[in-house]
Amino acid sequence: MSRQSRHILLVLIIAWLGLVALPWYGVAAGFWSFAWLAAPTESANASGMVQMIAHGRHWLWPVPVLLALALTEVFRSSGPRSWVITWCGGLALAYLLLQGFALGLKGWNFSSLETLFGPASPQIGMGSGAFVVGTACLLLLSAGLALKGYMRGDVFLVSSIAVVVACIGLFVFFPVALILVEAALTPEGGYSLVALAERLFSADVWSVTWNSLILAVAVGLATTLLGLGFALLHKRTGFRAKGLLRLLAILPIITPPFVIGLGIILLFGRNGMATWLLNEFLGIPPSRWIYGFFGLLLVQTLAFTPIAYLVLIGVVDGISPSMEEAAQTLRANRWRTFKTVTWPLMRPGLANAFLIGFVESLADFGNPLVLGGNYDVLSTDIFFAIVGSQNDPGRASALSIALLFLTLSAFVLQRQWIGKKVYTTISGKGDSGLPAPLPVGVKRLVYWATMPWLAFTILLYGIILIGGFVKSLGIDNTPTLQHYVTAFGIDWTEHGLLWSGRAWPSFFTTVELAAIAAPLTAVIGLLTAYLLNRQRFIGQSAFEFITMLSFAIPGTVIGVSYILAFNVPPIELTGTGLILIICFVFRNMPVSIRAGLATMAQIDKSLDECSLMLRHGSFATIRRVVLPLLRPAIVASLVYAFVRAITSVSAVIFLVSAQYNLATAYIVGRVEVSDFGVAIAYSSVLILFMLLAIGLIQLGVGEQRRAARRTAPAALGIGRGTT
Amino acid sequence: MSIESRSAAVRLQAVAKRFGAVTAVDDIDLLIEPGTLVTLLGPSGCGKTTTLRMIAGLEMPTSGSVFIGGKDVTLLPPNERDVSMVFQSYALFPHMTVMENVSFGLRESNLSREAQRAKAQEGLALVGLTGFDDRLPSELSGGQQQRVAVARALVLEPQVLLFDEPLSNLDAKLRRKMREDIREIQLKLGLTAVYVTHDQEEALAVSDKIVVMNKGRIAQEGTPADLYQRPADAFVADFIGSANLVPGEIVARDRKKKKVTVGLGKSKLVLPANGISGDKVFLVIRPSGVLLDGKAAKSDSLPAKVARATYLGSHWEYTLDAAGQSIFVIQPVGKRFTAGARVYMQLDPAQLALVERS
Ligand SMILES: Nc1ncnc2c1ncn2[C@@H]1O[C@H](COP(=O)(O)OP(=O)(O)O)[C@@H](O)[C@H]1O
Ligand SMILES: [Mg+2]
Repeated sequence: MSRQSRHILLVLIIAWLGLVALPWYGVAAGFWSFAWLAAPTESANASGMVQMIAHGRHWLWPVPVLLALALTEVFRSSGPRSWVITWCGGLALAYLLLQGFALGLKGWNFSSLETLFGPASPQIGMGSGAFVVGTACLLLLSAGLALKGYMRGDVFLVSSIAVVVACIGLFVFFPVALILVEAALTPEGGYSLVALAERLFSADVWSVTWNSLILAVAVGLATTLLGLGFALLHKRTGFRAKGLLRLLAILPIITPPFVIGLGIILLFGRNGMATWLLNEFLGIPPSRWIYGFFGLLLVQTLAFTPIAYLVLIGVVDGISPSMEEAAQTLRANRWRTFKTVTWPLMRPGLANAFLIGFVESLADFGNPLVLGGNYDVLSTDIFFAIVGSQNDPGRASALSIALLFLTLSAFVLQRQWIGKKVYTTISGKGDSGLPAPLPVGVKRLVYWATMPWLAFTILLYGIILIGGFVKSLGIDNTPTLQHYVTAFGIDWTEHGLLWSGRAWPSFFTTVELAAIAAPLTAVIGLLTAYLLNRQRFIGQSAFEFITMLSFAIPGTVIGVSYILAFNVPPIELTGTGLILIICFVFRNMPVSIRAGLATMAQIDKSLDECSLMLRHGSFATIRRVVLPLLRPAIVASLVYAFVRAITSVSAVIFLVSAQYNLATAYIVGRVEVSDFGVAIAYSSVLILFMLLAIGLIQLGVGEQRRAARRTAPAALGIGRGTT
Repeated sequence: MSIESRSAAVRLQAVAKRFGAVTAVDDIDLLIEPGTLVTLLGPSGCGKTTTLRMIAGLEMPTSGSVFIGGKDVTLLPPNERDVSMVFQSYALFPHMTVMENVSFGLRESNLSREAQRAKAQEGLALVGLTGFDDRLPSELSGGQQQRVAVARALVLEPQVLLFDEPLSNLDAKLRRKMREDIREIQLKLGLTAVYVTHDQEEALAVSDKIVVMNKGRIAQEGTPADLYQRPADAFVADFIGSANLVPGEIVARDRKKKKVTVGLGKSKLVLPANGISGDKVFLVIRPSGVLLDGKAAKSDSLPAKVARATYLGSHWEYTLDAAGQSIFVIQPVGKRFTAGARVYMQLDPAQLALVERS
């Protein structure tokens, strides 16, 4: 039997196992409880085969028929025919999906089908059996295509492409597309374009959109200017404390997004310290000015300036000093040099930074939630439309469409218009020469703008740290450990250790789910990067566009779309830990893809080809050559995916449940009931925990790097050009 | 255990490769006999690498078929063809030692670990790198890296060994040594080898047969002597041995069409016809095929003026002006002409050839 036949046989065996031995539908107690093993033939726990034979689910029969057909094909004397395998896999997969969508909790989902086929028994969401069979069908389809010669017959590559496309389709494209459908839902339960238009053009959606837009533009401008200030401070002045700036740059990555908002409340809220000082010494009465546009502008600017700084530092770096020197030798004074050379070179980078700040502000959820007050923005309004008393998915969808439209426009603008320009200006990199000093006026401005801001940021983080150790900051400043005990108390009892703190359950859940999601994110992201960078296949540019598009989908939109998509059969995931993991994976995958693409661009392609020539298939090549050289990207992806999973709020807040609560959701809950002490204590612990985790990983990698230093010089990019 | 040869013939049948609008290889037919070293020679961008990569299986031909050892391998991926390749960049795995690199290709075989090691040792001995097992590629010189790459390809005992400009990253002295070593190993093991280069001297030095390519097509194939003495067209004549191409006319042919008389200014030359049918030709004058003299000796010597003279130690290089035609010649040291001197060229008929002028 050939290698390909053996592979197909293996896939078919898995499919049959899934059909015969695993519960076809989701089991209430969860698959991993294995409670279903106790009564394996009951309707709730039965496998697909038993469902068909004993529980009247006749419509499943085409699946085993197609799988049997494929099985006979494997044992044909002249080997399996590619078209039979392709069609068996493809049809079985399509049929599985079709029946899943056609038959729901109440039987037929479409009354026309009921009149056509007569009544059918209802079915709930697919379980492990259906999942295994579906995956096997996808692999069968891939194997058939490989037999046809697709991707030179490399089964691993075809299957990888199929799996990645299916995942992105199922967990990004499908849910987001459902939003569109949902927005067209009429109160009677039908769908109409009129309803869609009515929702999209309602005055109330527009006003919220305007609010978000104005805020985003203001934040984009503010972060860009401040970011530029910091970049200039770092690169073009004699500023000493550059380590401080580096710390400033990592802080937003490890800080849960609403923490800055919390700090601001502690300062400027009605009982805030600053408010008290102003009242005491200047006689300004406390007010709620901080809850609204100005508060949000302040907080988001604080939160996103570091990102702009990171972007702009590259831009400032990329302006070759020699160009400026050239301008100076042409008798331009400093101001003219800045105006005619430096500034025009920086403009595209600035636009890029602006768009990033713009999108971040639109997507931000945590800060508007704690500080928004009466200033409604899209991200939080979407949330309240779903979870509040409104419970209006149609409105949430319309708001999501508006938000998606804004972020996607920014994304397209960035790629189409700026993407190219940024690269061309950066090509001057690597020039030596001393950068021209800033004109005195500009330098003074830079110092005046950045220094207070820097001090303010430090003050905020200080307050957050201190706030956990006093009774109620601003009201009762007696030192206490009470908040930490409440949240993270551990008791010794005769039964052993008791994790009595209230924060422990959500903390453990968060760490556990994040630890599961991180490697999955890295695998899918790096595999996608490998396919994009190393392989050529039909539909690649569309594939690339869709994966890149997922960069631009705000978390809130993902959250809403997951609720819409995965609350009902055929894929019922809400309330499980799985949906949180999936959400983490597909939210953070783009970063993993980027890290992979960046590293792979430095690894000479001839290394892969050489391995292929040396009798290694693509899978063995990945394992023995690509992965070891990709280690930096793997570590970066793992760290990032882990940290982001812990700090994310916007998407997961829709998806948490009593059983699976997450740290951030828990903290937001505390803030909502003004229990700031515990919220702050928890936030501080999270920040410290992540600093520790990053530090440990960096340390580990650093050790390895030292050990492997002998490897390093040649490690990346031996490639010299070939002619 | 020793490294054996299982060399097989390679045949390309009407093979073409297009990248979008670019035709990299245009309908090539080629037979490479077992146990020979065949060079693909041509200027940069003429499709040599693409041809090689299609034999390797790294590119799929747009049309046509590839046969190795009589078997059609057109649709087989590289790891299922019995070929190995030495890359221009060597492509040594930077995270593996020399030993791991050389035994890498054996890891997917059925050999035991010890057998793999022994074979790899054998390969390293063959290229003269015994004792370098535990070095990393970054700790080797360029020439040593090259040898590791060759050893790594050899230990698989491939039916065909492919080289893509293997010496282009070495300095001139090492290049000469390496090409001799490669040729020696190839002859010793009787390997079938396809060798890509853009350096005509390298090609002349190592090949049993040279295939000159131009713009994705085969311009001419033959032994080094064939190509040098009987170039098929102006391109080949110019590319191999940097010839002077002097336009002339065929003024007469003998009855058997074996010899033709070429008019060149006032003088006439009788040369082998070389299958030329048209009347417009280029006379191919090799730089070493001219003898200069201060005075007219025989009737068919041609007058010229020295435009530039360069002394290069072992010989002189002259650029001559003969009836408005610039001609480059090489002369042994001894006689000496200064710029502006009047000289007479005497052509060596054995180093002359005719190619058609279109
Ligand atoms: N992967 C590719 N995509 C597009 N064009 C290519 C690719 N590889 C080679 N080419 C084109 O095919 C032609 C022949 O290339 P190549 O075989 O590398 O030439 P050589 O090795 O003789 O210098 C060149 O014009 C080159 O630009
Ligand atoms: Mg080449």
